[in-house]
Amino acid sequence: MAKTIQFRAPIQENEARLVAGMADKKRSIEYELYTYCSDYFWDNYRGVFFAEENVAAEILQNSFITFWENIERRKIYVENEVVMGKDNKPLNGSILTYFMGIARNKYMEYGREHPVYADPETELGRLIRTEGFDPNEYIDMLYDSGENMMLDIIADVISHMSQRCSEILTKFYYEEKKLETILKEMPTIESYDALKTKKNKCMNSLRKSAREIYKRKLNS
Amino acid sequence: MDEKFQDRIDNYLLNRMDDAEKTEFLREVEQDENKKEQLEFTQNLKDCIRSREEKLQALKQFQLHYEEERRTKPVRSKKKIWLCISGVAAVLVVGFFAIKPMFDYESSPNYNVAPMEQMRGGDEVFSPAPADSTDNDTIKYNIEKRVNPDE
Repeated sequence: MAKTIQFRAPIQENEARLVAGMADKKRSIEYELYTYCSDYFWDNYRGVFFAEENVAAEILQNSFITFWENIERRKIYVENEVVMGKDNKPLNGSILTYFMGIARNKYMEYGREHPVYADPETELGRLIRTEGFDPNEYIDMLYDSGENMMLDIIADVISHMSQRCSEILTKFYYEEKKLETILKEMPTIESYDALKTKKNKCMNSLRKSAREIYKRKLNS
Repeated sequence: MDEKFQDRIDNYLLNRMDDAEKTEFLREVEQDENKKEQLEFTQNLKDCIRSREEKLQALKQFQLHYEEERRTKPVRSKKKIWLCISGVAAVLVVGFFAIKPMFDYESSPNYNVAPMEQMRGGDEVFSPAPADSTDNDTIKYNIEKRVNPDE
């Protein structure tokens, strides 16, 4: 029986090692992958989009979190020392290309929310400014179509919520603090009822956005 | 969104219910599709917030470490390395052409000028004159005649 011999460059072997280590939650590998992506991002992001450094840093952070979650949810994974991607096929190109694809989508979302950053000199910026950002056209790029689609959508939606909502929901669901405790830590909120109303408004807003995206995805 | 039911969802997810309350709550959820969807959304939201927060905290440490490493041991990017290599190559090429005429000068017979064949660019540059052109030249004949008065 003929056996297929797959040749891999040292760079592919290294990337497979990084993805596997990330999936195994090895902290040193997590840092190594972060530096690998950061170095490439800072050297090359201007070839993909134009943004001020602080905006680029925010895009890098959100892109890396998404990349990390994609490894955790096995959207990309290692099999027989090969990095695999969509439809259980070997990933086309480097993981850095994959990572920059995520960064590109994050920039497009950012450009939609902050049109001033949609640089008309770039193709992406021109599209956002002249034709607007239609999330319908990019849903396939942004979210998986599998069982975890809603999880993907929520993960993305919470990265865009306001500072105030983020603070309240993080304290409530992640730190598991009671509303009375949160009220003491947030003196700008007048009362317990006001805090509860704000928390529910944040939840409503997130749920509405997530459901809209989900419906569009199902209809597309 | 049913806000009263949201309070119960939160109590369930944050383990603030006793066993009897949990059983009653789950039974209620199973019978109502909207309540089920509301619970799933809140559970997903809680998971996503936890995942994001854990990663943000790790990233804070990574960023500090990364910046410190860059400060203490500046990382030379590939672009910078190529820039250095191409700079050195450019200096070598310019240097080569600047130094070459000096060696040509030294190789000339009287050390004053470069060899004539090199200045002219060698034989391949100029095609040789036809062999019979000077033999039949009348000017040459006249000159030879003037040189020999006895004839």
